[in-house]
Amino acid sequence: MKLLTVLSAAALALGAVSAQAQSDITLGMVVGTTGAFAGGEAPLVNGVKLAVEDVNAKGGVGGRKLKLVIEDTGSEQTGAVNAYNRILAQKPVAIMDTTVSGFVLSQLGAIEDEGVPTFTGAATAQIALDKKGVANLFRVRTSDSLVPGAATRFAARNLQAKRIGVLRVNNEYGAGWRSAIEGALAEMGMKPAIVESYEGADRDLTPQLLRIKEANVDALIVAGDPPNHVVAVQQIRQLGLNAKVIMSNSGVLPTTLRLYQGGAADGFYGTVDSLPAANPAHKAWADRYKAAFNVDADYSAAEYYDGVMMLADAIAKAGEKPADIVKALRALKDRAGVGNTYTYADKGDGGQTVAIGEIKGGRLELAAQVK
Amino acid sequence: MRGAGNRYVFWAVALAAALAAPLALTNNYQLGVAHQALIFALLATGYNLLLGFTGLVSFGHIALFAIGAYASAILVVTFGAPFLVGVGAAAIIAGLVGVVIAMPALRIKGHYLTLLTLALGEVIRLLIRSMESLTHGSQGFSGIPRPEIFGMSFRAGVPLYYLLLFALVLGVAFVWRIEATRYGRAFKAVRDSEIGAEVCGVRTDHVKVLAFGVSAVFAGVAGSLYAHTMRFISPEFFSLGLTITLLAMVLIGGRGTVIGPIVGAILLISLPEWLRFVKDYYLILFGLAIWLCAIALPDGLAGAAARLLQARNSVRGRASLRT
Repeated sequence: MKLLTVLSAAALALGAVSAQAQSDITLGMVVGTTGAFAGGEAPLVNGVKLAVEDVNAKGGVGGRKLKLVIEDTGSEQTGAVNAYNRILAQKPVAIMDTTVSGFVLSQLGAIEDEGVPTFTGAATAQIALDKKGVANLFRVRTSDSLVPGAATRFAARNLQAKRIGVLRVNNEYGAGWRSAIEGALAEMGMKPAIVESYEGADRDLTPQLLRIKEANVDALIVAGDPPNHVVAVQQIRQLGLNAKVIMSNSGVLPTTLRLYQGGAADGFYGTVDSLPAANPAHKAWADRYKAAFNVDADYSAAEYYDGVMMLADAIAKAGEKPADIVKALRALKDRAGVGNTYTYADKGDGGQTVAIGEIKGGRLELAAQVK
Repeated sequence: MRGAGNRYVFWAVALAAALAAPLALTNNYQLGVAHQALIFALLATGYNLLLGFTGLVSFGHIALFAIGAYASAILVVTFGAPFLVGVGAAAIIAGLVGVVIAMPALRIKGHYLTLLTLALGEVIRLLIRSMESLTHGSQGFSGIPRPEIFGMSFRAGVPLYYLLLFALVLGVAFVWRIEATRYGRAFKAVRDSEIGAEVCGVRTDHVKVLAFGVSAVFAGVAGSLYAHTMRFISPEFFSLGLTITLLAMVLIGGRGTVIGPIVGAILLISLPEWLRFVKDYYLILFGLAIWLCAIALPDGLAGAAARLLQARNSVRGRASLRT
C-alpha cells in the first residue's frame, strides 16, 4: 500500500513537471486595436501572428509553444501605459510594443524598471541607447534619425527639387521629422522653403496647403499618421498643388493605400524601411502573408515578424531569463530579416535600411533604395 | 450632531480602506490605475472649489494642470532641483496663473467666461508647445524621475501610492476645513446669488480670485505629481478632451460636495478599464452614463446618496413618531 502511494505521488510529480515543460510561453503585445491607430497597427499584429505560427509549427521554443496575448492601448497615452502594465501582470517572456513613439516614451519608466525585453517599431530618435533608450528596449525599425534624411536626399537628388517644403504633424513624431529634414538640407547647403504644421486631429489642411502652394515648392514632404495622410492627399489634389509629394511611412502602408480615393495618390512617393514583396528573396513570405490576411505585406508587419524570430532564437540560445535574452539580443550584428537588417551590438539602434516607394495604380512599387 | 458623527465614521472608514488598498492591488497595472485615480481625485477636488462651491465654469483648468507638470519637470530635470522644490514651484506658478485667469472673471460671466477660459487654456497649451528650448515642445518631456523626499525614494508603486494618498488627504482636509469657514460660505454665496452675496457684504471679486487661485494651486500640485508618476509628459495629453473628463468627474461625482469629485475621479479613471471588453462602444456607454447622470442625478452620485440617506432618516423618523 505504501509503495502504491509513493508511486502515485511520483507519477503525479512527474505529470506536473511534464505539464510545466509543455506549458506555453507567453508573448505579450501592446498595440492599438481600437481608436485612431488601430488601422495603422493592424499589420504589426498580423506579422506577430504569422511569426508565432511559424515558430510553433517548428515545435515552438525548446519544446514549448508561444502564446500571444494582446492588450489594447485604445490609441491613448494613458491607455498605452495601462496596457503595458496589464501585459506585465501576465508574466510575458517579452513584449511586442506599439509603434507610437509618444506612447513608448511614456512607458519607458516601466520598461526600464521591469527589464522585460521589449520590441518596438517606434521610430523616434529619442529611444536610441545613446539618448533616452534602455538596454532591454529593441527597435525593429529604422530610426527617424535616418528616414527623413533619406526622404530629403531623394527629393533633392533623385527628384532634382530645389525648393522643398515640409508639412508635419505637431507632435513628437512630426517634430523629429522636421529637425531631421532641416539637418539633411543643411548638409546639402539648403533650407526648407516652408515648414507648416497641423494638429493630429485636424481634418482640414487648406490654410497650410495654400501657404505651401504660395511658397512655390518643387517637392513637399508630409509627415503624419494615416488619417492625416488621407486628408493631405485629398486636399493636395483639390487645391491643385503641383509639387512632388513624399509621405512618411504610414502614408504608404497597405491599410492606408486602401483609404485614398481612386488614383488620388498615384505618383506620390513614400518612405518605407523595405518592400518585402519587391524583394525576390522574400516574395514567398509576402505571398503567404497576403494569403493569410488578404492584404499586401508591408515592412512593419515584416519587422515585427523579424522581432519574434530574433526573440525565439535568443530564448533558444540563452533561456527565458529576461537578462539573458537581453544579452543574447544585444550581441546581434547585421542580422538579416524579412523587413530590415538589424544590429543591437555596440549600442546598435535596430534597423538600418530605407527605401522609397512610388504609388502606382493604388499599389506601392520600389522607386529607390536610399542611403 | 448624529449626522456629523456619521460623517466622521464615513471618512475614517474611507481612509482605512484607502490605506489598506495596496494589499488588494497586487500588480503594477492595478497600482498604476490607482495612482491616476488619486492624482485626478486631487485635481477634481480643487476644480470643485471653483465649479462646485463658487459656480464658476472654467475650461482652462487642464492648462493649469499642465503648467504644474511642466514647472516641476523643468525644475527637477533641467535644473536638478529636489522634488519638493518642483512641487512647491508648481503650486506657486499655477496659483499665480490662476489668479491672472481670474481677472477677466471679475467682469464677465456665464458662457463668456467659459469661452474665455477655454481660449486661455489653449493659448497656454500652445505656449508650452512652442517654448521648445524649455519644454521640449511637441517632442514631449521624458526622463522625469519618480519623487524622492529627503533621501526616501518613491520609485516603487506602493510607496508612490501612499505619497499620492497623503497629498489627496491633505487636499481633502483643506477643502473640508475651508467649507466650514467664512470663505467656504462666501464661495457658496457667490454661486447661489452673486447679487445677494454682495448685498450681504461679501467681496465677490476677492472671492472669485481666491477660488481661481486656490483651485489652481491644487491643479499645480496634481500636475507635478502626474509628471513624476508618469515620467513623461507631452502637450498632446493636456487636451480639451481631458478638460471634459475633469468636468464630468465633478458633475457625475457631485459638485459642491467634498466626496463627489473623489468618487467621480475614481469612477472615470477606472471605468475605461472595466469597460475594456466593449472596446469602441465604450464612448457610447460613457456618453449614456453622463446623459443619465444629468437627467436622473442632477446633484451627482454624492447628491443622490445624500437624498437616499435623507429619505431613509425621514421614514425612520415617521416610524418612531407612530410608535
